[in-house]
Amino acid sequence: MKLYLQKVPVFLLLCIIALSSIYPLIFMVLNTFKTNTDYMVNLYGLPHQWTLVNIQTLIENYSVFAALWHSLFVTGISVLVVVILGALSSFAFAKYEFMGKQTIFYGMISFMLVPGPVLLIPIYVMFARVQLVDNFLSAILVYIVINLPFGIYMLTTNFRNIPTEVIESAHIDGAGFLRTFFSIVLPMARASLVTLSTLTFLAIWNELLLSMMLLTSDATKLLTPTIATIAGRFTTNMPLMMSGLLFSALPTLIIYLFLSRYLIKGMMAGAIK
Amino acid sequence: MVMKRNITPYLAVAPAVILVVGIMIYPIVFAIVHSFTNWDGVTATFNGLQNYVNLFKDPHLLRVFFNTIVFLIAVPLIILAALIVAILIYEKVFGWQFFRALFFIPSVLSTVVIGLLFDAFFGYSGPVNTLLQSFGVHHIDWLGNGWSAMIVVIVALVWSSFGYGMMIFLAALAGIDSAVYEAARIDGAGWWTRMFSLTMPMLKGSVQFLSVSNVIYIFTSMFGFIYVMTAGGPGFDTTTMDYYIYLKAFSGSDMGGGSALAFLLFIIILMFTVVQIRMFKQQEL
Repeated sequence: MKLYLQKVPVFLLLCIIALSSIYPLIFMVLNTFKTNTDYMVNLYGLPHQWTLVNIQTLIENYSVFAALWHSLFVTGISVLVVVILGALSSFAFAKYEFMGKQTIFYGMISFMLVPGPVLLIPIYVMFARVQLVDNFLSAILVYIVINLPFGIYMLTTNFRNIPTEVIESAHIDGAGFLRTFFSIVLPMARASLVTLSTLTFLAIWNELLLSMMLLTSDATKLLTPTIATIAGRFTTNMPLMMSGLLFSALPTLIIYLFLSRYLIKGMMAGAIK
Repeated sequence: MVMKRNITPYLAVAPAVILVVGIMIYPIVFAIVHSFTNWDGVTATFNGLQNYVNLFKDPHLLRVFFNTIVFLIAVPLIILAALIVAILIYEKVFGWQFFRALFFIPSVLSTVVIGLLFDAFFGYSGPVNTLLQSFGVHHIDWLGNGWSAMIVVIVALVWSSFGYGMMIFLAALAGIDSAVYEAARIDGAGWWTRMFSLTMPMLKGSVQFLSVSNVIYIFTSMFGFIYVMTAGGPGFDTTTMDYYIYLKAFSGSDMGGGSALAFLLFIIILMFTVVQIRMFKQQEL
């Protein structure tokens, strides 16, 4: 296809870009397994002796595993609710006619334009009043609400592509709203549901400001803020800092590794625009 | 469209609508009202436009606004990098799918991870300085100096965002009919001709989308980078709008002033978005 620009230089150029876009990560992984003295004399190379001492320090002294569970819990529940509530309302928006539909739909997606920092103070004060600061519920509620508008926008766009005849014939066969939703809509929209779950997971997992404000005690702290606060102290011990970064990045990298095929397919189909 | 006059669709949208309205509208209204008060988070006394007057008298605010404008330099850089990479991938050379997946990896990392990685890279005895030293350049204190700290943040921004832009461009390119290319080729159009008269016009919508969304991103989502990389320093040299809201509210306990600043930020973003959409519209005429 389209072979006028010679392919070899293109390939070499892509290799160079690939190296520069992946090198910081290689650097992070290699230095996780070095001792601090090894790092001082051997910045770029492989570790002279592979060590787990940094990971060990991280786990023993900084309770990162507790933070990891907190993050998995909060992110997991939020993603689940976003996808379920998003899909339910998107099905209604995409395939049903009801009074005020346009207004409600555009009202909902206009919340995509509300910037996070604008919400910071009022949300903090609101949860402080009902004494939900340091309670997972506050973060879960906020994450659901912040990510729902985009979810509704994306899923409604996708559900519109499901042929109406399929839905109608299900109704004629006696299937109600929920039955049609579970047995027809969800299976047919699997790719876009996976894309949305992945994007929502990444957004919540990587969020710093709100989680830092809402979940402050060791009993509730999430992973990203934990790494942000402790890694800042490690500037004299780079390998320890790198192991912290690897620890917090690993879950997202694993998820991407397994779901990138779906995610890229979803994005190529125009799911994110 | 299916069914009319039925309560079911209302029940389906109700949970989402109630949650979003309850947890977004109430706080937003609450904050706007409190931006006209002297508020420390507990007690509030009405003080009219005083918070807004104070904002315009605030010597740091102009610097903070200026910093955000400087960071906007990253937007054209991100779009250009994304465009170049997308065009290279679109040549579909050996392994192009692998490259496509690889270039998106920086986009799945958090600003905390990216920020600290670049901090380490540009640290005093980090890889960049060590590399420069081998060329005889003396150690540079990248993050201890306003301008160089900004450069580091911009590099981190471009590195972390070009993959997402590439995906947007590739999605648009996938919509181009390859028969059109064949026809153009048979008519004798060279690679560059096809690039500028066929490919580029198709990508205008994507450029607009990326431009608007990245400008919003830089106005609202710099907190992670700034918090871990520079803490806004030295002085206020790299403090951004969102970081300043955080400082005002949670270090200064000035919730009223913070709310006023947040409201101002919202207005600024809205203006930038409208202006950009207008600009792109005009070009099409």
